[in-house]
Amino acid sequence: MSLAPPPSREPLLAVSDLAIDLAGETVQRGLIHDVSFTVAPGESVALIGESGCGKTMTGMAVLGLLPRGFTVSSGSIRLGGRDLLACSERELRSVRGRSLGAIFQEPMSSLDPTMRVGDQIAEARRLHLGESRKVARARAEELLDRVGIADAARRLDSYPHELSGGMQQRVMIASAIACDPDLVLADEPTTALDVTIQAEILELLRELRREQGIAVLLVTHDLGVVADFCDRVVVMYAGTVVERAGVDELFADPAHPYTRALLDAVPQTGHPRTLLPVIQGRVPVAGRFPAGCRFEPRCPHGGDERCLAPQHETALPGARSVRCARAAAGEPVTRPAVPA
Amino acid sequence: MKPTYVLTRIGGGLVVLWLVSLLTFALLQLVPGDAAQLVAGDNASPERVEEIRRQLGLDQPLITQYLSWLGGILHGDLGNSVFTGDPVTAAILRAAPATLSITLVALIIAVAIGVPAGIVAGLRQGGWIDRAVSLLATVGIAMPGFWVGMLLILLFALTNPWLPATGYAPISDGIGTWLSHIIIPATALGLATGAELARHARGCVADVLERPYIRTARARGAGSFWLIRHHVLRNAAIPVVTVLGLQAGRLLGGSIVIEMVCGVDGLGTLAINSILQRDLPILQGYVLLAAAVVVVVNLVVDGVYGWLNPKVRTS
Repeated sequence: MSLAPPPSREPLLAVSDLAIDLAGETVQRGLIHDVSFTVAPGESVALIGESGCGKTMTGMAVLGLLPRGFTVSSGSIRLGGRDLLACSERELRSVRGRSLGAIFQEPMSSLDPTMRVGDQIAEARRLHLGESRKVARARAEELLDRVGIADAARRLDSYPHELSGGMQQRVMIASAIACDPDLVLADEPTTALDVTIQAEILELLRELRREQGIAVLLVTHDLGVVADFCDRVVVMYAGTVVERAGVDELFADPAHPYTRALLDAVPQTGHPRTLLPVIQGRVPVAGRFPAGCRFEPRCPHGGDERCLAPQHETALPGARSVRCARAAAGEPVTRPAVPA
Repeated sequence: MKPTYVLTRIGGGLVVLWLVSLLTFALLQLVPGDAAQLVAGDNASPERVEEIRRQLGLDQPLITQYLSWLGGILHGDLGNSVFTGDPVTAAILRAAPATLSITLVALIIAVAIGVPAGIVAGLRQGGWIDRAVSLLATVGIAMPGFWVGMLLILLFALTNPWLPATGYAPISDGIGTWLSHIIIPATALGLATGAELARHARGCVADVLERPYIRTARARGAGSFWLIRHHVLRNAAIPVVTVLGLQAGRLLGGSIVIEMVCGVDGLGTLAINSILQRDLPILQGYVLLAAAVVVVVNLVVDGVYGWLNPKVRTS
């Protein structure tokens, strides 16, 4: 299934050459670097990678909500033609929650425990559209109904702890879409939920895309969710983008050895009693990245002279790109060795 | 708030009061040797000791003593002072306004200074306001109240005769007169509590700011003022109120020392004198009253807590 609009349209979100530094006692430059990707209107793009690869940090940079100490050192983030990095805090506030909604991982801790869910959904409308509490609440009731919560009028007055995890995430979604944003950033929206609830939440997001044309930037490590939900995929490893491709192309023919290894590590049905291929080694600790390709120490093709130089993103046919000298040269990428 | 929550809290308070009544009653039995002899003093005649024994009811069986004592309390009769023969209730009612005034004003000073200072420090972590508040709070906690009291008397009553050095004036003498007598002991008493509150409020605000729901609110476009007003204060208030309740009990105890320093004829002075004069009925009355005040304060805190925290209110 593909909901992608024609790719010729102006991108809604364009992140180019983003680099993020960590200040503090030990300054870490280029913690995240050379991150570029786009999201077209109505499109769903996945940002995937292992824990600590910088996908959440990239999402936070888009929101302008990097944790203390982290700063964007170069690059640009454009949303609807507006350069977010050049915006003042005040201008950023007028974007957050208005044209850019956000859904986070743990709905329980991401909702204010002392505020009625109706007020939390209404918050963005009061902030951005200047609606009174009463008007915004009426709209919040429609939104609760929209995200599939039964008995919305009564649920408005509930507190987060009175709702199940799935309902809490529906409330988060309702609050994220309260002002009809163009783009919703969903940071691991289903990770903390039961499998059946995950499917329901994804279905709801799909509906919202179809009916309201909302674009989604989905930060996740769940390849199943990606295959199910996204049009295009941005693969991140150790703070940088290693591959970009359409979801079908990526799953059918991964170009980067890391993507290949990632796909191979997904347990397959139909192959009982076989060892699961895993990626040997660990993600390098931030600040101790290899000088050349950051994946080289774990790569089945590592040791090549070309791998010891910094890798550059190379465009491939079909609006794809890869950051691997071998793959760019058209050499085959093989499966990683199965651990003995 | 669920009625069961309210009833459990009130029931718990009553149980505490009952336990305190047992302990207070046991005071008479637990004094080493003969309580009547102790109260009468070493040089009392045997007749005098017997008289006091009858007066204290010590010649009755234990259970009878307790029940009649408890019955008396429920009717507002706490017995008579062994020393003056006056009803204990009257003595306590005479002394209570001064102490309650000092404690209440101390609490107001502590909250008025400590809570805003702590909130600002928590919002500006690492800034100069934060460092100044932390320093002042540490100094405030380290300075003993009686010393601050003496210092304030020296500065504002003796060196500069702006305020009366000692004594208490009832509120019926006029608010200004009342306050001029109260302000030195109340400040001395409330400073440490204010410092404690500032530190706690700072920690709570700093903690709340790190919570994911703050990030969510910011992602909705909330600015600083909106964030503080709608999300930070309410969440940070929950633990601060708990500490406030604990401090209220401490203030009542702390007022004993401050009253001595500032020459105020309050409950503290009454309690100290009753100990020195071995006036056990007065002491019993004081302990019961102090327990009742602490129980009531805790009930109020529980009520506020329930109002602030929906998890308590609705479950």
